[in-house]
Amino acid sequence: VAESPPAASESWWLTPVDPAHGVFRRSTSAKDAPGISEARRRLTHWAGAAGLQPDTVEDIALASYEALTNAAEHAYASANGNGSGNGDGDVDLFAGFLMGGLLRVTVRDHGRWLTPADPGYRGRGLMMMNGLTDCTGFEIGEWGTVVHLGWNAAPS
Amino acid sequence: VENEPSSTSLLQLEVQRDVGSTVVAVAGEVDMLSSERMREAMFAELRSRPDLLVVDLADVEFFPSSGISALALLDRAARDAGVTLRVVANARSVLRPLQITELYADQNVLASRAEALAASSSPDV
Repeated sequence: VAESPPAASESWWLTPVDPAHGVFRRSTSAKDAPGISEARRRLTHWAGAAGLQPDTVEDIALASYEALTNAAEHAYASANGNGSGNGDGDVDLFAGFLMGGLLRVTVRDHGRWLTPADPGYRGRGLMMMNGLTDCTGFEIGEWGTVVHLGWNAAPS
Repeated sequence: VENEPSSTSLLQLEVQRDVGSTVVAVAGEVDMLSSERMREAMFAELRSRPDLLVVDLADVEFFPSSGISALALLDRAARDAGVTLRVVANARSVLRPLQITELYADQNVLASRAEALAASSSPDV
């Protein structure tokens, strides 16, 4: 379900990336907080190397970290026995440019989506993802959660 | 944006206590784990009930929602304790998250530590 108007097309989160500009991939254990920070740093480096504006790179780093943090929380909740996902699963981070000038970052986990118990706390992660991106999309299923973050940005 | 090598902690905390005011200065990167250290340090200072508590985020380079939530909790606790809380922030890396999560309007945010300490410490208007 797309949360905001898609920038490139209605199915921007299903469109394959344009491999001409390189693809970023990184997997880490959802419970490895330093590993998640390292994934964020490497993504930041990749986005900077693609020639994006520093402010955009900063937004990408922050929004992606919120999605990664979200995935880590799912993993913990599932490991506590009240979820159907694999609590020890990896979180996968992908990024690439789509034809037409959209950068898409995808974060996939294998835990169960959590409805915020305290909207003041968990709601802020969603506010950050929505506020820092040009479009967002969330796929929530038994198998896990996928968060798509999009920016109108082209490599240079 | 710097790409620092991986390290266990990229967050530094410094506390400066004066008559009537305490400054907790935070520098570096706030993340899932370090936001807990930041929260503990801020609450420890709140417990000694200074008239004015300043949280200086001028040197914070990365400030996700875990940091915002720590600040929101502190804000609530400071009100309950009758302690004036001021936040120092001047970089986009902190101002943008504060604005997006709508905490900026609630907070007494100033551009420098000197301003935060100089402004009247009368209770929030």
